[in-house]
Amino acid sequence: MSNKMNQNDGVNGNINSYRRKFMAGVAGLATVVTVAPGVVLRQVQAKDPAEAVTDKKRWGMLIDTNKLTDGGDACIAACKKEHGWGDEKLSSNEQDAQWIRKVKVTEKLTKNETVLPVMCQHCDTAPCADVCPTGASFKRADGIVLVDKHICIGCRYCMMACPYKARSFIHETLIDQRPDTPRGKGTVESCNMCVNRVDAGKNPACVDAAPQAMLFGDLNDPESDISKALKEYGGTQIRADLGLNTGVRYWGI
Amino acid sequence: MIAHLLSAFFIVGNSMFSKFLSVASLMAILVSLLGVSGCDSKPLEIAKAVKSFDTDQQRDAHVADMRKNHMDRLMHKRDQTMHEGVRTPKYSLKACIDCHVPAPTESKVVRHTDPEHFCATCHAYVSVKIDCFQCHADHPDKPATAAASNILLNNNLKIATENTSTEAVAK
Repeated sequence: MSNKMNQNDGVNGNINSYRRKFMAGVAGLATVVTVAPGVVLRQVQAKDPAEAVTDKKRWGMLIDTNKLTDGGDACIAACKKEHGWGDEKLSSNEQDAQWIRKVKVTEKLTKNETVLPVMCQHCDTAPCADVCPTGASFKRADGIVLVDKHICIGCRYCMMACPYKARSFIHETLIDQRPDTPRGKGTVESCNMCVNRVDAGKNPACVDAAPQAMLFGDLNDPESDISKALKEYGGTQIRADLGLNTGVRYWGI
Repeated sequence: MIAHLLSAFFIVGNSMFSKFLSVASLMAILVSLLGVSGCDSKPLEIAKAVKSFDTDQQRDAHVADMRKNHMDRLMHKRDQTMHEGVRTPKYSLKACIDCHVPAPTESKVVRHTDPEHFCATCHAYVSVKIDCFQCHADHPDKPATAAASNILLNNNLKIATENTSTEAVAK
């Protein structure tokens, strides 16, 4: 960007130098990267890996079900690939891991169908963390709800408490887990909002798989894309009546 | 052994000495054989690390520290990573595995159940059973994807440094 401007320098040197400084400031704030004309990538700023997460950020997700033409199949495939679930050979259908599931809702009168992907909603006041007897279910400072499998005893109380049926229990011995996603027999697991990717400044895998329909960002930052979109058009929480203040919001349901 | 023989010599009289000597010498031979077999055991052959340190001092410090403290280091880092999102490579189990366990090849995948697995070598010797690998990956990713993730990691680092530099300009 600045190279181009350097070439154009000459006649209006003062204006250009002012503009250059201004653009450098803008670029520093938003880190906008122009790949090709018309294509702009907005990089989620990576946190310093040595720094602890804080509650200054609250990660959230916005899903536009109207634009998810496949109902979320691509998201589910990306999630399976990222975290290595969905290949439990010995488990029955009821026992299989479900980090995201496709839920079809039909209105009784009109028979209008809506398909939406439902995963951990990363509640502000998470019932799973509330009931956990060991503190294994917890909400990280930046709003991501996780299971600390080191101290999970596999009691499955959180699975009972979750109104979204977002958690699964691993029933069988696993091998060849993904290096960034430890998972093993006897513990409960759920969507972790790709915490490893988020900490590295990337989007969750599902968001990258369906960028046309999903937004990921900081709900506490009024300038983030997701906050702007939610401010302008609102967003639906599933079971908003429970008052859980979910981090995952929907359009088109 | 010699002290025993001497004391026995003083207690037992000369008459029984010859019989005693034959038994004692036999025992001495047996005991010495045991001793020889004990000394003969070789130190454990531990798999070589993939990466190497810049200097020998760094390596020796790492080895000395890790021999004694690896469990505490990993435990401390475990909670920091899980609850605070601290993801520096130092003391991360993933970084240990990436360096100490060979990447899988077409013919061979080294797992924690194999005696040549870096962790298993010692843990089996001292009869310690740790359940890290019931959940954690016990070997690095396949080379292709590992290389790709390394590139991604490097890019992220680059982006991170760029971000901090532009921030400094903006301030």
